[in-house]
Amino acid sequence: MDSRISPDRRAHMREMLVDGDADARTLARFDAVVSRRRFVSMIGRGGALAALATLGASDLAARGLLGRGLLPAAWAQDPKTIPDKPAMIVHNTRPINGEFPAHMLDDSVTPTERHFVRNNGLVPERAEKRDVQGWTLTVDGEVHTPLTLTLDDLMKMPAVTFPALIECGGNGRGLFDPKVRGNQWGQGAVACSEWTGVRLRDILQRAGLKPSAVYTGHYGEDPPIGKAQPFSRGVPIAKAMEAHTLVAYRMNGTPLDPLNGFPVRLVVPGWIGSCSQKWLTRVWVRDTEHDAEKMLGYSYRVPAYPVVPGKIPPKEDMVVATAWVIKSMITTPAAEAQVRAGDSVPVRGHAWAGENRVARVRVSTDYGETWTSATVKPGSSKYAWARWETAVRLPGKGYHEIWAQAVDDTGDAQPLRQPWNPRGYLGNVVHRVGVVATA
Amino acid sequence: MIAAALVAVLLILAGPFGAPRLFGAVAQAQPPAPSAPPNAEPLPPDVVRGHCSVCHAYRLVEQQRLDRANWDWVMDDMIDKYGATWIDRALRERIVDYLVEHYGAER
Repeated sequence: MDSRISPDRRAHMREMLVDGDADARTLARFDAVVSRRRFVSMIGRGGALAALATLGASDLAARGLLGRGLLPAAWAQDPKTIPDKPAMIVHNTRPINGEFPAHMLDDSVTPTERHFVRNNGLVPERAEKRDVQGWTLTVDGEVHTPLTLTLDDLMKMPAVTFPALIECGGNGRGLFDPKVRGNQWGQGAVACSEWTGVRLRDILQRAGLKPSAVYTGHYGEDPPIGKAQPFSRGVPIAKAMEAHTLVAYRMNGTPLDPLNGFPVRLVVPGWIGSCSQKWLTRVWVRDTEHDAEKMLGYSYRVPAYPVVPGKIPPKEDMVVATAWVIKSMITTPAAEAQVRAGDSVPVRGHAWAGENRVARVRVSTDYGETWTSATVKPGSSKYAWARWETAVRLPGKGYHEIWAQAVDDTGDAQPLRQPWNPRGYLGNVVHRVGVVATA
Repeated sequence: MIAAALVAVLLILAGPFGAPRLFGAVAQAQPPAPSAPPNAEPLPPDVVRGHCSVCHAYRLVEQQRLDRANWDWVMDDMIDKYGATWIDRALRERIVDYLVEHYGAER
């Protein structure tokens, strides 16, 4: 079925723009959108303009939406694949949000092409073009000497390289019951790539922190969508000064992928991913907890006490989410794998614990009645995930589940059922992989 | 700014009750229940899609399975925080009806 917009309809829409004195740039934008080969027409029988007209909107108003470039994204080309991330499970294309299935995250160091992508806004032009010209990092606020650093300046400072885990604060949201709003992440909005950069601590020490410095506020150059404020969050100064908090300019040995923050980003390992500002341009050192839009209300906040599932507590009872909690994932076998009953089946994966350490991991194949310990090998740096492995035998033909549960050094264990919070943050319920055993 | 004026025109012309459809002939003695919307026809899917994908792709909507309270919360944010000024009050109600019907908690 030809999903292109008909030439008649295209001509009519263009005519309206011209009659409305649309400028050359608007017309060029319109032409570009409608001429794309797979222009997806979600318009239906009546046509988009007719649809708007049934709501009493005049041609003038409809033209207004078109003319201002508000041609709805649904009418424009919907990319089928995201650049550099060919196997990604795409939750959304605008803004781009995608993850990878657990079995594709088996590597100790996550390759760039399998690092998840989480965006609140759009990808900056500089990143799309991979053009560092003119990029700077400003450090200002409660510092003695505000700084403006170029990439050259940054690369002249002492650099460190280590693997570090970044996990979206909403990873696991898809498993909440009742369901909550937002991108419905599964297990895969987590990665442990190798990062190279300058310790944020070194940069803040160069700027000289005043005694009044208590928090950071991070800013980047990703264009917000709609009337949203530019995405910004921050961290307490102690976390900013921790030795593994990086201003990173290399990922797995090469410049950052445009979707992962080119040219420079923060890496705040072990904390919810929104602390790790991408396309970084400014660190504002503040004398108070950062209060940008995405620090307030219910955004990246969790209740101060356990709540009844589905019942939203008052705003005053929400506290800022910071470090991740104990978590693990099974990377082998893959979901829906077929195995032979009675055979020894290798089971392995990763475990991590925010600011704590993984103490043990255990595995069950009988819905949590009995458990087998896995051997755990810590990651090669403080915030790299640990590797664990064991083997199981499935007793007979049919469907079985393999469960994995990690416990940290404070005694916190992953829950067997997901505790609820209104926005689906810090989802860390035990990972369950269903497999089918053949006789 | 011209942009704001055009959006304002859209809102004004859309009117409080959306589509200027005629009320169905109602042969009954008592007035309709106060909660019955005068315009109970479901929105065409492409209208919802069009209005809900100006800023973000519609896929975000399709992912959701929310009850009415949560859809209302989302709409509050879309209109008040994120600037979806092309959705007036009556249209908002009809959109929420559609979202609860198609992307509701029971599915």
